[in-house]
Amino acid sequence: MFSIIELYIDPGTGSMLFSILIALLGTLAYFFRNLFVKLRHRTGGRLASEALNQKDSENLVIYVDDKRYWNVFEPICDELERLEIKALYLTGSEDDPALKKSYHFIQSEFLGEGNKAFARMNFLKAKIVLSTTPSLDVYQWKRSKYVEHYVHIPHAASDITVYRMFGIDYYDAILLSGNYQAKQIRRLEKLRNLPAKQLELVGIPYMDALKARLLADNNTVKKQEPVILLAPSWGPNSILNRYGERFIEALIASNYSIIIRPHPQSFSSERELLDRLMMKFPENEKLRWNRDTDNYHVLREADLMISDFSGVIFDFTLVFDKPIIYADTSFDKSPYDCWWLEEELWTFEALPRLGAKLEASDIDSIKTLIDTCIGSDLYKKNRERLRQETWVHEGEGARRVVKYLERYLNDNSTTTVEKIRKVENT
Amino acid sequence: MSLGQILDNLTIKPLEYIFEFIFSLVNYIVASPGFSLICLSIVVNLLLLPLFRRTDKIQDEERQLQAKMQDGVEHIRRTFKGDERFMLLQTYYRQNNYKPYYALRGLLPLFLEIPFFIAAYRFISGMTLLNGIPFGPIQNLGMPDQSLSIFSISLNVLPILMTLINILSGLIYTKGAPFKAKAQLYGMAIIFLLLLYNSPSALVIYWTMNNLFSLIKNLVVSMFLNKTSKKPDNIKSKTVINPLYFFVGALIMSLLVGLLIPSSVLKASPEEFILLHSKNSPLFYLLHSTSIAIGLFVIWGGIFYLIQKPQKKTIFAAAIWLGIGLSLLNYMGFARSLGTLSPDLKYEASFAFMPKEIIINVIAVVLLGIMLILIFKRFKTLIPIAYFAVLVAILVMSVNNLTETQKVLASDHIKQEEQMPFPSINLSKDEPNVIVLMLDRAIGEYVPYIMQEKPILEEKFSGFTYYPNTLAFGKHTNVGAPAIYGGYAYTPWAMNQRPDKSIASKHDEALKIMPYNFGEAGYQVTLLDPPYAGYRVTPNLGIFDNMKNVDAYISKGYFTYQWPELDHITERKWERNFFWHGMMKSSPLLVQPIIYNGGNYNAWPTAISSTAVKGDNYKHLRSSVGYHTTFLNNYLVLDNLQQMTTIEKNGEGHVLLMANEVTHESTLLQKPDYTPQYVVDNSMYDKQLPIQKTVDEKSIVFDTSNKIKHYHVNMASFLKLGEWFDYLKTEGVYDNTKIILVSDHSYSLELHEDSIVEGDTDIGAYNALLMVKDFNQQLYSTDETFMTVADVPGLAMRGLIDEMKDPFTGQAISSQKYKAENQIVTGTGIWSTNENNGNTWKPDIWFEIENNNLHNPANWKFLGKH
Repeated sequence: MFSIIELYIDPGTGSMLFSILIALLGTLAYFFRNLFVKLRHRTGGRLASEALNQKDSENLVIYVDDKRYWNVFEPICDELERLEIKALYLTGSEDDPALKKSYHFIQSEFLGEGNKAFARMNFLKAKIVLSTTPSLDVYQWKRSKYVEHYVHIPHAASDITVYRMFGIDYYDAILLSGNYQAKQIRRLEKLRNLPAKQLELVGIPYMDALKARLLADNNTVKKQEPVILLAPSWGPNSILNRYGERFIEALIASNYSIIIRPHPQSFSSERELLDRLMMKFPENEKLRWNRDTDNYHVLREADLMISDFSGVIFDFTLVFDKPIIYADTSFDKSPYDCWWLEEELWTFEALPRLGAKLEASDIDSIKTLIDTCIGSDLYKKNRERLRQETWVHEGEGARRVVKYLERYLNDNSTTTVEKIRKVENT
Repeated sequence: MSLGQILDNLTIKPLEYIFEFIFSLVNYIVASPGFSLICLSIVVNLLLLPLFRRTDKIQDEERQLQAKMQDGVEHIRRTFKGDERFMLLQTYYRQNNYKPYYALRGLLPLFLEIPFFIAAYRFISGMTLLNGIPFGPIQNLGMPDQSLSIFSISLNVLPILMTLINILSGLIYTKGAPFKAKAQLYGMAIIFLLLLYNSPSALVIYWTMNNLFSLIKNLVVSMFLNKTSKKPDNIKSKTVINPLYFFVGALIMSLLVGLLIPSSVLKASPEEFILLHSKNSPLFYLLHSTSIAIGLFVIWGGIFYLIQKPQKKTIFAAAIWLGIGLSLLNYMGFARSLGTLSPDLKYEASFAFMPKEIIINVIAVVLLGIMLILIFKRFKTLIPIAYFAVLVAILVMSVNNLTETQKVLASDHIKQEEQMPFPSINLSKDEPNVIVLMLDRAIGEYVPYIMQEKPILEEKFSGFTYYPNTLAFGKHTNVGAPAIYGGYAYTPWAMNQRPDKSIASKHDEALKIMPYNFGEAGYQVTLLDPPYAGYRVTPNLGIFDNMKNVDAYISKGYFTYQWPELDHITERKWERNFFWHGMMKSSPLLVQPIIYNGGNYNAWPTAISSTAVKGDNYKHLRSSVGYHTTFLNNYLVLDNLQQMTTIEKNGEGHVLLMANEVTHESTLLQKPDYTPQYVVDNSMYDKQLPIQKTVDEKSIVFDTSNKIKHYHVNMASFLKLGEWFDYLKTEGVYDNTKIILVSDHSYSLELHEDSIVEGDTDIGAYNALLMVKDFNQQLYSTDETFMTVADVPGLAMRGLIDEMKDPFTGQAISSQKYKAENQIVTGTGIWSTNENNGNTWKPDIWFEIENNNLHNPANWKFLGKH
């Protein structure tokens, strides 16, 4: 018979046992949570076996979770097609433009919805997977053990640390457009004890493509006065939320042509605000509300962009070579990789060099601010410098990406190294 | 044997036995249970220390890692929610090489400590029976201490002291810890104060000591070890020894101690380990000993091995290598026969080695030890080969022992024994009856002292003539018994004169002579337990088949069911002591008596009196604990004689030829009635009795346990026989019944200083019991006439059979013819029917006794060894 006395222990041991009991409960909770999450995002079982039954290993797979990244991959696909390199393009959007392209060497396929797509991706057989989707092996998208080499290409020409945390940690290689990005990655790797990734400076194919389109565009735009593009982001700190009517009124007062292009998310998240503003400021000769899918035309037409923190700033200022005014909105780093690093984001250091900062006190004299920016030589010179910083190998992006992929596909020695690294990784 | 029992043997039993051993050993030396408890606590805690330190270290690592991750974890928890939070935490843990399951690593060493607590408790809970034993200021270890009385309220000081130590220890342990941890600790201290406040002080002493140890440990840790523990000591050394060196060694050790040695004991006499009321095959006891040994060496040895640093692992491996070598040396090289080993795993004779033997053993151990260490250091490659060879040898020998044992157990005569018919004794009321009772190893010389102590026995034994000058022909049953049954043609010397026949067949001839003669003459003959019938330890009654008017029964053990605790106790004893016997036989001679511990193997009595606390059963010659199984098997037969007896009014005369071993199985009995008891305590009686007994100016000093125990069993047999004789008298069959009490041999008790002759031979061992009551005799008398046990057939048949004849030699049976000659006796010690089983006896020493007087050593003529 056991009694409490039989299991008597001194209080020192007792409290040790007690803390372990708590650890045990914690572990159990963790275990069940893990089980629960796994069950909910189940990619094993039937889905996995279907995925495994896919045809033989591909050489090169391009994976996009959403069609909006077609601009990132179109130049790369074109280059692959040109060099007659076979690739499989797997997309999470049923209406991805890639599915309508008639390539000879690139095959496109819709992955299906939800877990089916992840099952396919998580048991994929391929030598290389190229993607711009972050958080590999963090959320449901896991590394497939049948894939040798995961390559990431960013979809913006700025900081690589603004993905949600651990966003690129489990890629094997990152294709970059600026040296500062490489330094950021190395710092994260060191902080997290991760093996060093292959980093390749390739440039930015989609910006190259945008630039090429611009150069090939012979249509001249007729305009009497400067066109100001207001392209805010969304959320409580965005320009429209903070300054709203007052700011639009000030812009109208400048007597320049105004194009307001709200963030697509605003139409769903801030419908009320937009309805009110659009009601109050209906379109006229000098004011337009723009919702084009392709922003090329509006970017080309504008002479100056007013925006808060948004990736499109760099497209506008670096490709179209025009100044900006950026709003002083606070940026919450918490969810992003940059939270872990002490230094300031490259973006915040770059913006003052590209244009003026919009303060609340500037609203009434916005015309003066606009005029100063448009006429500034300093900003023009800085744009040149920033292109060297964050857009290396201008015009060569797609070619260099494909060259990298081709080199890997042909180089068997790398394979071995990769394999070893992967073993260490797991 | 259940799986639970095996698990228990593998885990808790080895610890319990070690504790028991430590406690008994200390108590044996200091004779203070309280102090022994303290020593036990210290040893247990020292054993636990490596486990504690390992736990501390693991928990420390865990805490450091937690602290390192704390900011990140908190940030992730703050920033994200739901599945995303969980997945990001998972990723973060992964990057820090942390698994939440790691918290459980700290549980393992603590988990291992639990068996220690259970084992200690199980053992110490027996201490509650320490009733009445004082320790220092404590009046009674079996009660709360009640050391302090204030205004008629008595306070238990020990639990309060324990709690103070607890709190102090906790203060140090939780220095700098949050209040929550401290509160939890004090809470526990209070709870245990309440729980243990009214516990027996023995328990509280043990736990107070544990807490004191914990206090010292925490002090030492907080003062010294914390500074050094920062150093990473997990530097991977290239010289990590292959774990197989240890584990294969531990397995070999387990098989040697737990299987080979016990199986050899079992093989020597498998029948003796069959219990009438137990379904278990004797082989089950080997399962116990083996699993306990594996638990000790492989499991606990292995656990302590695994938590060591590489360097110490090597020491462990070396230790087990050394252990195997020395154990084999002790077991194989110093396997001198220590005399007969009873089924109780006790030696008949007192257990002692000559100083010369011990010195030689020590030298051999040291020399071999040095050699083994050299081999371990220089020629490690030899070890796997040696291990392989030893392992194979042990397995082959063990399997051989097992199959031999199984063969005996499966044989027919064992099965026959399993369905024993009721051993009935028939006596005729009108016709003459004859009873010959062989009391194995009864000491003839004790009779006058027995009669002196219990004068009423002379009345009960009325009509008997006691012959003090009676010679036995050997010191053991195989050489002594045939002459009792067959007369002078079956003395060892005479049997050797017919080398054409095997000893076994001559032995059986002897057993049949009286049955033949009586049976042919129309008597109904009953044999009970004919000694070594078929020349085996368990009599083969088949040899009496087809004899006219002859029935044979086994009575030994038949009535053991009347003593229900016995089989249970015996089984428990075997389950435990086979292991300890293996441990003892593999130890150096110097250590063997300590483990043997008077045959008690340091078992802590479950019920004790204060003198028995000394550990050695018979150290004080007054008290003992436990039953002597074989004694009881035989004693209960004598106890049931009346129930076995049927008186027949009509019909022919009856002859009973019976053997009983009560007098052979010496043990301490409870005075004044000399009855078997689990706890015997004669101190009250012995205080009043002188150690020396004198009858007719002849004295015996009862100063050895053997003298005392033999006296007790002889007395017990006489008391039981006296009761039966009373019954026969009441039934009116005493006068028409001739009764002969005889022993096949006596025992070397060295009752007299001048009784030793050539070859350390004690002539007392040949002084057999002979008491004869002829028909219609009324008085008790003593007759100094020289007699031998070979006179028995003649005495039994005299006046009843006209032509007493040996059907196998064709010769007439006569005492007179041989009595004129000098008698020749053997000094052989080869008692085993398996060994001494040729056509003639194995060569040994012989004596010729002259002048018809065995008491005078001068009459003993040494004939040499042949």
